[in-house]
Amino acid sequence: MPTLTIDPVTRIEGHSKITIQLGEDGEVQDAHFHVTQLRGFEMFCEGRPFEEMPALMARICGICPVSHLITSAKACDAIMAVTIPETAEKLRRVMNLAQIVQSHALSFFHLSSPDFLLGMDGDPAKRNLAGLVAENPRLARDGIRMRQFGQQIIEWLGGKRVHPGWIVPGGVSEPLTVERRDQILATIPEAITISLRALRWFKPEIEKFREEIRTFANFPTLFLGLAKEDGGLALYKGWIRVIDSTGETVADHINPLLYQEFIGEAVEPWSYLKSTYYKPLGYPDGIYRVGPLARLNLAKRCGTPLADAELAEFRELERHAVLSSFYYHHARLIEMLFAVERIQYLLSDASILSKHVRAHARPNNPEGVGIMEAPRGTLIHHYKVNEEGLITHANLIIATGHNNLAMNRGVLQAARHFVRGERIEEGMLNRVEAVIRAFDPCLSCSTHADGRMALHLELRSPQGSVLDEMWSG
Amino acid sequence: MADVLIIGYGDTLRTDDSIGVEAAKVLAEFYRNDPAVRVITSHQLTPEMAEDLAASRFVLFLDAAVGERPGVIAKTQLRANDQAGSFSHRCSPVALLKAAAQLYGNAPSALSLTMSATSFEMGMALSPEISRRMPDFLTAAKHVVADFTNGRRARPIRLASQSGG
Repeated sequence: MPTLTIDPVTRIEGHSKITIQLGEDGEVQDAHFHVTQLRGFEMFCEGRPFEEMPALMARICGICPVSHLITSAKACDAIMAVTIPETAEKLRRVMNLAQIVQSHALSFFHLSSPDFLLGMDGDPAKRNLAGLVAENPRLARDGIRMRQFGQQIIEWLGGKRVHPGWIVPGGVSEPLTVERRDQILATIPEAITISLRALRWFKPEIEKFREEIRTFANFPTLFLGLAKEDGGLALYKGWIRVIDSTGETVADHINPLLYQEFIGEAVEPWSYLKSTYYKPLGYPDGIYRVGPLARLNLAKRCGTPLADAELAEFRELERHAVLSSFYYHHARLIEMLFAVERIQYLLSDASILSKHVRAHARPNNPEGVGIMEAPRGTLIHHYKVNEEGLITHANLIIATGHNNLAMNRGVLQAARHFVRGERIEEGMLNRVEAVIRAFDPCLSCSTHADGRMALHLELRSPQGSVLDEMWSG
Repeated sequence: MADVLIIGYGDTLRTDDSIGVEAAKVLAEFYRNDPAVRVITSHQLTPEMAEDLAASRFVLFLDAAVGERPGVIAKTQLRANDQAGSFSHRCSPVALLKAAAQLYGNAPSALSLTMSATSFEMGMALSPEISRRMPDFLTAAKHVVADFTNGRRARPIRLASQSGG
């Protein structure tokens, strides 16, 4: 059976490949998204003091370390059995929102906009950030500025742009100064202007991609994410809610501590990335999506005026839940706008300058679960500790893992539509890659093993036939 | 904005790959009272630095290099119209210069100063040989900055130890 291989998948975070199996008639029979990297964080943190976990876990990733930092700290808060000061929670939110801005800006402007601007069939030598710079300098500058906006806030608060400190079990390590608050507030107007400009540019551009919208992981799935009482966009805390493709609630008020009753993890031999699924429906029927598209489907409103206006327009795309994964890009821009507005709101409250920013306690619970919405979706850190507070077990469920089933099904859908065996063109394969880019996966975060590594080794001849193979794990 | 921008970059967990970062840290302290000089340390070059470049008149990139003999210091003039390397996950100095010109209308004059490494293995400290050579590397960097700020064209830096190997 002939196989097309896209290796590596370009303009994403992390390492992966896509294989497309063709039948003898040249039609696509199957396709897989293979994640080819392994990290092992859940294993080597065993035996470490739980207080080290936020700093350790931030090192999982260089793009979204703040998500791991905060989610880990929340798990530690639970182990300590503390409620952190209100100001500490607001400050953690500010850093999380800044990261959402810089991460979404990276995905939209740097990784995906070359496709929008230069076309899916554009010259691959130019269909990249350098090509964006040459073709639309204003768009490239805007992307750089939004990344700077988010990264600068993270650096001002946490000391570094990548792997910052400051977020600790119990709260944050230092209060915010007036000078720093005013520095951040001064950057808000430009960030809002750029966010709105990006939306004004992108919404008409979408019209050129009708075929891609129809075929980029456009199918019914559940959607999972955090929810809160007022129906607003829940990024820092809430309970787990699951809805179906008609927008109807399937499960609600799920206590994050009980996530394992609702979320299962399946292992496939062709990828280091596990596939999570909604347990009551089994595997693989329990397929669901997380992240910007899911969050906007779950929320009744964002909670800030400009973003709410954009969300109202977004809702008109489809009668019920928005299903096409191409609209992840649109949702990302709305969330970016929301995050900037929300930072302004949080910093405008005088209580943000309170000196009470940390609770202290020894371990009081044998385990703790932290859950939060990372840029790419719901992130869960679950730790168990012994009496001395040393980690005995850690389990992470990463946003990208939640989307693995949908990414694989989406790759197959796009391949079946765009790839024809008798004539393979680069634009066809770029579209298959672009399905993955729509999800904005973070593969460095999402690959882990709890002590078992399934490995399949194939020995192939120069002609491609398998001479020998071996399985382990 | 500063006249001179020094960017030292590299992986500080890969032994001598931290040459650029370690040198930049020392230079940051050396120039801390000089408003004309700004120093950045970073794990890697990123597109966001294009704006910093465009706001400067001169940029000095500090980095480790691969070479047959460790400790060899090399100075390379960079131009925005040179063949650019990558500008996404891995950003080259020339690609940054090009971006500075295309996006912000200014590509400063630029030099790359590198020292060939002994080792790029996992490690949090410079190798002993490179540690011994760091004073020469720092002297070379300071000469480059001085040449620019004194308004002279940068001349090749010849160090006695270079000829001996």
